Amino acid sequence: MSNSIIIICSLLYLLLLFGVAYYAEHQLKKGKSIINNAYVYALSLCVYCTAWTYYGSVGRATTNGISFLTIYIGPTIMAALFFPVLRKIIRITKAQRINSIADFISTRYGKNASLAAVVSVFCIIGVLPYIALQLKAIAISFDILTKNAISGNNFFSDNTLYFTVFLAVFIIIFGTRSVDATEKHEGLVAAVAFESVIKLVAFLVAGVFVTYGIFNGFNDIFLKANQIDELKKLFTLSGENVNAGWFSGILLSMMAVLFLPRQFQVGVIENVNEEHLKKAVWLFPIYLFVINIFVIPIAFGGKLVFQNMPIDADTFVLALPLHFNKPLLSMLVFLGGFSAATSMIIVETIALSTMVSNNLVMPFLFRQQNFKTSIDKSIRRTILYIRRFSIILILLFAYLYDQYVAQYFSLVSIGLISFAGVAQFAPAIIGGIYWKTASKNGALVGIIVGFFIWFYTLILPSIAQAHLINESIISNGPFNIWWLKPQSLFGLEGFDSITHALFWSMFFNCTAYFVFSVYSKLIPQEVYQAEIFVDIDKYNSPGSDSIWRGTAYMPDLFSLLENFLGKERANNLIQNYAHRHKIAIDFGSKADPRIVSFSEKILAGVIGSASARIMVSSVTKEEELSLNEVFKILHESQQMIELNKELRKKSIELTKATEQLREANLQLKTMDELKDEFLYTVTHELRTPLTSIRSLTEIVHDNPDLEDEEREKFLGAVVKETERLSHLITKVLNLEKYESGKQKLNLTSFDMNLLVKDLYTSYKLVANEKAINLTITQPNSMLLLHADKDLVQQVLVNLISNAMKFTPEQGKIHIVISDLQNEIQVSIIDTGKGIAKELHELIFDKFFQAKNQTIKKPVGTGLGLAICKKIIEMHGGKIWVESEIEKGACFTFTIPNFEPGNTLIEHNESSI
Amino acid sequence: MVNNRKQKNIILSIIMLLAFCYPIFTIFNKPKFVGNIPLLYLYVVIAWLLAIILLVVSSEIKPSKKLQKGKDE
Repeated sequence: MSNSIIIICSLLYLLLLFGVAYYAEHQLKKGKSIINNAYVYALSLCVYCTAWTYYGSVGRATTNGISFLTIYIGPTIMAALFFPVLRKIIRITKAQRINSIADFISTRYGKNASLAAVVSVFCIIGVLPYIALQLKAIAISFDILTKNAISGNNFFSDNTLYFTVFLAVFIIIFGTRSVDATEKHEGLVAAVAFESVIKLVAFLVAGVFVTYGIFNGFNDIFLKANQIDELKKLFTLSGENVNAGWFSGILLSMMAVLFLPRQFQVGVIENVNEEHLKKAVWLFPIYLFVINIFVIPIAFGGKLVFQNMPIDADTFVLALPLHFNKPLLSMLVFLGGFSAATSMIIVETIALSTMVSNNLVMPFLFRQQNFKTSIDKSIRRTILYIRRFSIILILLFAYLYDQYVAQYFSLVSIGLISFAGVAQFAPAIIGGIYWKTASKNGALVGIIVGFFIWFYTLILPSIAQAHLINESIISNGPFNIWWLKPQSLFGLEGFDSITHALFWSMFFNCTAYFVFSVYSKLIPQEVYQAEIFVDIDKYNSPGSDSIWRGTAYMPDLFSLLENFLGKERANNLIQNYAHRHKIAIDFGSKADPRIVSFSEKILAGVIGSASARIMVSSVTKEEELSLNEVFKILHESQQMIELNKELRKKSIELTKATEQLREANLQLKTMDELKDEFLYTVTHELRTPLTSIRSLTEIVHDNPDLEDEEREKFLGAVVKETERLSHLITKVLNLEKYESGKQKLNLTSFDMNLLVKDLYTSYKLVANEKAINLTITQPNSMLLLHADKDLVQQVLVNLISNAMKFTPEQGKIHIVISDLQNEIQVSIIDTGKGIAKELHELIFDKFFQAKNQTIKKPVGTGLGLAICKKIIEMHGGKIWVESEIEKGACFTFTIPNFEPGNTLIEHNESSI
Repeated sequence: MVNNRKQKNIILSIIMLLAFCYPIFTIFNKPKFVGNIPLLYLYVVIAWLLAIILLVVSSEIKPSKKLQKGKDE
């Protein structure tokens, strides 16, 4: 394939990356965050799979079988611990505005600047070769694609340089937008997630091609491999202490997946929402599983195809499609590897550049009196330039390492060596978030000792292998001291170099960490930070973060913030904070301690906690705090939080109570209105008979010469009207009694069947007189009901006499009683004039008839149905009507037949 | 509930570590085949898949209402 095509394709791919990143930032400006998504978060975590995975796994598989899988099984196990461990780290990071792994460690141990610097330096030493490895992978794959047999010629190395420059530009554009390093790199993360998709797809396509295109599936490959001794022995893991090697691989990758600077960057710093972890917990392991499915087939396939050809197993993924003359597939595979390499370089460089600028350059500058006094608004630009310059420097060093140093080393193990390097941070971090006694001295000594052993047991031998130092140091130990031999320290033999190095470095690292932690005296700042880190959930609430005591003036503090953040942003942040915590701000006088603490935290997001501390203390006069005071502050803030919680609970209760009160008030109002209405209708109803009584008696009074017959008639009418009046008054009083709950149910057990039957018999006569056909359907058995017999009878009488009233001659009335297991149902069906649908509910209202004067007024008080309804409801039953105009009506009620002494009583009581 | 999930996750990670390490690992580290697939490979693939399924279950599936009710009380 020609050079130009490949270069054009790679450049197009890089432009696509620019496009993705630009699109993501564009969307963010429109208020839509692409990286605020669990799937994108999980994909960005997959930056774990670098070119070392893409090309190197196959290479390792051809020599060690499946031992390469430890690198992916470890993270799967760690995924189960994302919730207990990673989430806690994320919470701390957000609360403390931490912006790198070095910042995390230094913030935990009292915001110590030297600790931050040491961690940063070790990160660079451990990871720079790893970045170089990615450049090397790009170079080699490029080389194979163009079939340039020898790598490292001038023409080619220029290409690597171009790519490096391109990447530098990309990272600078999308990685150094804001001076605040805690701000998310929207574009970069989107690009990295995109690259994760590309590398997975490319590798899977290559795997399918090899497994099913060249061979006939997995079975075929294993069958053929089984015939070759060299491959057959890879079906099992063999060698001395193979179990230890396997275990150390898993352990190492478990730590690496959290503590590699790039993993910390995407997993913690760029995390938008900790809820995304929920999906990442399983999506990330699935990705690792899928990308490894075809590694063994490609490794064995390559071995079978290129049996005696001198082709490096690391390049099988690319060499196989090329060998079978598939240019498009080869191009895709190349781009997959390219994406794996570039995504790693992008994230790792960002992470390292933050560390270099915040933990190495800035603390140095801030210690210079000249610099500190000359800080003005240009400082923001200075910081960005420092960061950009660090990016260029890191990439330049990686490039130089690749060009001039890498040739002396075998690069195969660089990945694992890096893993072992960053594993040295594990005790300080894990201990730091769970163990309050852990001290700065412990962490510092542990990390330094661990790194020294790491260097001595892993780096020194590879330097010797490259003939840069005398090899006898390796074979005989320095000064011929046998127990100092780097690869079998203290005589420990029989382990592979990584296991050996991991064991000794961890042994000394942990021991030093524990011993120095236990025996060193903590300074107040450390105690405070330890408390906050370990009990993050307890203190993770705004306003509880002031440990600062001393004198500070608002103008000094504000101008400091203004320089680093810009006037508008600094003003906004301070005003918001003050508003939230009800602190009165006077820009001309002393600053509240909380404002000082808050300012320091904001600055920490920009320049790291150690530098922020230096800067803030340069404009304020801090008083030394004693340990007791720190504990007092912690105790107070904890109490404050408890109090806040209590208050919140109280306020919720209050809101609820208010709501209830409002409802009650509303109810009262409607009841009041109803009462008025009721009074109005009652008086109205009373007036009608009164009027007729009055006029009748007036007639009798005014006409003494009235005939006896006439007088009799008038007096009879008066008596009738009086009866009606007293009847009405009784009913009103009854209704009032039921509604107010004054009426108690006189509960007895009786046979409902019998009651209805008796009523039926007594009404039968009246019905016959009116020529109405009254019938009844009832079960044969006894229907025992526990209720107030008189009241139930009243309901029945009311309903039956209503039916009689509205049923014309020759009509029919049918009474049905049925037993519905939990309740007894009685229906009275007539063939009267019926009731319109919209009135079905209204007829149960008090004085319904009175309110609906337009409707033809039937005989009666208009209270009967309302009383029925009340009685039935008091028994916990229901009453309703089914009817259509001119088609008769069916009144039905149900009464639950509870056992005596059951719910009914409760209902009864509650109604009182 | 969160605490419950934390505990489940820690137990899960311990089980996974045990499944993938000495001594259980040695049971399968033998030159045997299931069909044409080497026993060790098959074991790693199956154990890994199981681990992923357990991860999905532990983080995505909510405890049943009954259990949750038990917790509330």
